[in-house]
Parts: sequence; C-alpha cells; structure tokens
Amino acid sequence: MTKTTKTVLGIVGIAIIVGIAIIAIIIAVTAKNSSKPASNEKPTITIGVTLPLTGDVAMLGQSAKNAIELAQSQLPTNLKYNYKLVFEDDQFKPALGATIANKLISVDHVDALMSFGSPVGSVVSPIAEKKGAPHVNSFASASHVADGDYNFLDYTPSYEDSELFIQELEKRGIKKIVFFAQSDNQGAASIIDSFERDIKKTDIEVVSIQNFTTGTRDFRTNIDKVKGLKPDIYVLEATSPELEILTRQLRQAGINTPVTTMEAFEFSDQMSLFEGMWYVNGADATPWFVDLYTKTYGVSPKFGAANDYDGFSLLVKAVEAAGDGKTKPTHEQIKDALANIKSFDGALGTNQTIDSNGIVDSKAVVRTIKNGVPVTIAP
Amino acid sequence: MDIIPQLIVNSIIAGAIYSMVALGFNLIYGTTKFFDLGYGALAAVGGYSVFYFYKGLGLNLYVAIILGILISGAIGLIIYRLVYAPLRKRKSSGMVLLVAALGVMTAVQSIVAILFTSQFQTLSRSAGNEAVYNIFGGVITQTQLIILILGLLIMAAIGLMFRYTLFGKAIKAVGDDEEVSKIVGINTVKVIGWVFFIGSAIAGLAGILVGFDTGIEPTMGLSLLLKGVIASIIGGIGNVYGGVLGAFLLGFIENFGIWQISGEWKDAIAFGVLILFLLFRPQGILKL
Repeated sequence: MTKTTKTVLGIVGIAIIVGIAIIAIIIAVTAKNSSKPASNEKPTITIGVTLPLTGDVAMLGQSAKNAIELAQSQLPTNLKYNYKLVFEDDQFKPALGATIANKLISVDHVDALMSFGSPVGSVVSPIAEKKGAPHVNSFASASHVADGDYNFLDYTPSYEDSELFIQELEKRGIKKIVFFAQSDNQGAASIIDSFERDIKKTDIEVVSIQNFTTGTRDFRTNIDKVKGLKPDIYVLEATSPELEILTRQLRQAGINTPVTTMEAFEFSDQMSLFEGMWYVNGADATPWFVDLYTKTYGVSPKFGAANDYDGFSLLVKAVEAAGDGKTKPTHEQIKDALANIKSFDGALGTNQTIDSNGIVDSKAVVRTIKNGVPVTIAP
Repeated sequence: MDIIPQLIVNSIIAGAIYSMVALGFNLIYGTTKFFDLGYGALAAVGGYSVFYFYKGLGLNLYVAIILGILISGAIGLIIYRLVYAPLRKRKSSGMVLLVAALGVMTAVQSIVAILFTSQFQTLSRSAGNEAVYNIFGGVITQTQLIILILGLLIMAAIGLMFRYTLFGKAIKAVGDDEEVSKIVGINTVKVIGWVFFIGSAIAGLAGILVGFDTGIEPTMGLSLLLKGVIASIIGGIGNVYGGVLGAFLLGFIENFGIWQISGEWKDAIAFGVLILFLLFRPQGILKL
C-alpha cells in the first residue's frame, strides 16, 4: 500500500469517526428534547438523597432508604408532579457527603436534597444554603444543621434529649456521672453542649468527661483514670464501633456500673451489649408506620426511619403547595413552601409543627433494651 | 496510685500489639531498605481471612487462623513478585517504591471493603465474655496475654533464625549488601521473597489478634502500620530487637502520657515523640 493510499484511508477513517460522533450527538440532543413532558404529562421532581448505605451505620442508612422509598410508594396518584429519587452513599463521612451534595446540586440538578446525620448534615447544610437548594435532614442531633433559610431538620433536637435525660437521672436518684464523649462527632458534641448547659441547674455532679476521637480503639487508660471515681452511671456518647469497644473494655476492666446514653445505643447492631440499660432517644414512630414498614420489608424499622419517611413527605407537601403542576417550582418556592408548613400528620404522629428555625418539633422518649430490642418505657 | 499497676499493664498490652507489627516491618526494611507501606493492609487481609473461614464458613478456629496467616504471607509474596521486585530490578528510586507501596495499600484496603463491606466486625464469638487475669493488680484479657506471649516468641524465633540458621545469615547478608550477597552466591530474589512471606504472615497474625481483641475493619492496617513505624524508628529502624523495644517504649509513653491529660492527646504524643527522635536520634535507640 502506498503512502498516499494510507493517507487517504486515514482521512476517510477519521471522517467516518467524526461523522458517527456528530450523528450520536444529534440523536442524544433530540432524545433529550423529546423527553420534555408532553403538555398532558406531569413534570418530574428529582430529590437527591445522601445516606450511609455502607459502613458502620449502614443498617440505619438502609432503613432510611427503605422508609423514603416506602413514602414514595404511598404517594397518591393525583399529585401535580412525579417524584424521582436519586440515592448516593456517603458512608457517614462528611468529606463524601460534601462531594455528593455538590454533585447532586450542580451535576444532577436535583430539586431538593435530603441528608442523614449530624456529621454529613453539618457539611451539606452550608452547601445547600450557598447554592440555594432546599435541604431536609432527618437524623441530626446538631440543630445547627437547620441554620439558614434553605435547611430544615426533622429530628428530635438535642435540647429535648438533654432535658428528658436529666429528668430521668434525677428520678433515678443519680448523683455522680462520668461521660465518655466522641468529641469530634458533631451529633455527640451537640448533645453534650446541651447537657452541660442543663446539668448546671441540678445537683448532679459530672465527675469526669473523658474525650476521645473517632478511630480510638484502646480506651483502657481512659477507663482506669475514672474507675476510682465510682460514678453512679457512665454516659457513653459515641457511634459504632467505638461504642461497642468502649462498653466491652469497661466490662473487661471489671466495671459493672450501668451505662446509658442519649441516642447512641441504637447506632449499634450489638444491642445485647446494653441489655437492661435505660437511655433517652428521639421521638417514637407511630404504630401504623411500624406496621406498614414491617409488612413491606419483613423487618421492623430502625431508629430514624420514621423521620426519613416524614422528611420525604414534607418535601412532597412543599412542592405540591409551591408548584402549579405545569412547570417545576423553583428552589426558592419550595423553600418558602417548606417554611410555611405549620402542621402536618406523619409517621412520627399527628399535628407535627415546624418552628421558626426550620426544626420539626418532636419529643424525646426514655427506652430500655429488652431481649436485644429497644422498648419505650416513658413518657 | 492504685492506677499505676493497670497503667503498666495497659502499656505492655499496647506495646505487645505494636511490637508484632514492628517485627515484620523491620524484617522487611532491614533486608530490603524499603519502606513497605503496603505492609499494613496485610493485617486486614489476615483478620478478614479468619472472619471468612471462622465466622463465614464455620471452620475450626485454629484452622482458620493458620489459613489466615498463610494467606497473608502468600499475598505479601505475590505483591513483592508482581510489584516491588520488577521495580527494584529496574533500580527505581525510593520515592517510586513508596508510591507503589501506597498504591498497594489503597488497593488492598479497597478490595477488602468491597468483599466484606467497611462495617466494623469482631472475630470473637464471645465478645466481652473472655477470661480475664489479674497480674500484680492489673487486669489483662486472655487475648491480650496471647498477643504478648506470641510477640515475644516471634521475636525470639527471628533472633534464633538470624543466629543459628544459614537462611538467617543470608537475610542479614542481603540486608548488609545485596550486590555482594549475589556475588557470593546467595539467591537474593528467593531470600527477599521469603522475607516478604514471613513479614506479611506476621502482619496477618497481628491483624488476627487485634481482630479478637477489638475488631477488624478494612482500614485497620494504616493505624497499626503507623504505630509500628513509630516504634521502629524509636527503637532503631531495621533492627528487629529495636522495633520491639521501641514498641513497648511507645506503649508506655502513650499511656502514661495521657494519665493526667485528655485521651485525645494520645496520637499527638506518639507523633511528637517520633519527631523528637527524627530530630535528635534518627538512628533510634539500637542502631541497625
């Protein structure tokens, strides 16, 4: 084959490739344009959801996903809009949560966001506020996740937990406590802040606060430092696996004093470690939600699932109120509609209200672990 | 002062874990002069192998442990043959080898996370219920005692190997000068391969024992490796006995260091000591 022939064939080959690429682009653009709804089709609202679907709290994240999908399946057919969910896995890591939030808003152009937990919620919240994207978090103790106009929180605030927790301590005659706190966890830090403010009004003495960072696996020296103080109870504010490791090392050190927490026990998939222990937790799910979830998935919902069910339902309620059904409401319209929701019925109960800070008002409960399962004992 | 005996026991327990990591790391470094960052991931390989065989397939515990150790050793050897040996043959710089080792660690961790998820797991079926012993006023669990005894036995075995076996002498020769070792007829590729196998097996065993003591997760190797490296530098990088000495010293420094201050300072204290040694005694306590 001569050089000239090779050159000609090369040019022809390139022309064919470029031609195919142009045709592909034309087809893609045409398809995109044709996916705009016909005049009698409902527009689709896309809600981006970032959850810990893998990692140490995957069981809670998966339960949250189930609850949101369940809420979607329960939507009536006569709504103004169709609703599409886009799930992403943040592994309960703030850095991943930030990346996902930016992607959902800037690349996927979601109409609203949902997030889970204080660590991720704390980074998603300022991103949502800056980019003007309505954001509902359904599992954050840190109330600053609701800061700003675009952020809303459907979870029992830490000050509710703290108030009930102190009442329960007083009721049980507890005078001396030792705190173990995962100080770099936003949720735990928020709970401890509320607690330290409220405890000053009582005669209960916090004899020691042992702070540790996420990733700590050896608590033995921390434990030995407080063993001699002989507290009436140990308060553990940590997530899995630090919570389980700390509890086992307390027992290995020969400490059989009761342990308690505000919310942490239900982060664990080894609840038998806390058998018989009382603790304070976020609001209970209604029986109808528990039944519906259990019938649908064959297992009972985990802690926070009802909050996620309601979080999605709140967004749908806001979108339906904000939009005319012909075009999608703007982010600002959805945000305003959320802020205007005064009362609603949901998986956490009837006549729920949203306060001026964007936080759904819900009350904490006292629970115990009985046969490895949480059971509400008060109020 | 009742706390002192327990602080001493806690320090010994921590030192025992670090010494096991430092032993294998120093064996590899002392022979190849190569900072094998990928070494840490093999602790996770050992732990998850036992998790799979013991808790997953229900095999006998001792069979699962032996398999875990052998698999860690085998994977370490394969990584050496496929990644490090070709780079060393090409006379790649230390930076290239370091980056390759970092890549190995990341890749192995990711594969473990994909196969087993990144959820924290325990190897023990009776977590929290194992036997506990009282030693001079300090409490130590059965697993921790096993870690301590095994660490000392492995150190003794390696010492005896260096002193009384031809293979041990070959390892020392390669560590002293690889080129001259080749000239005198030592099959350095084979010797280094065995060093990687043995060192990786020790890493796997460390991961298994930590798995029984606290638990396993795909990223467990990094924190273990860092402490093992600090111990090695304190004790004398490349020196097997130095690594053990450094490990126990680190255990004491960490636990006594946080006696009167918050536990959050533990890592800061450990890395602070590392920096001090790098500045003022980079050869460590015991030279190579």
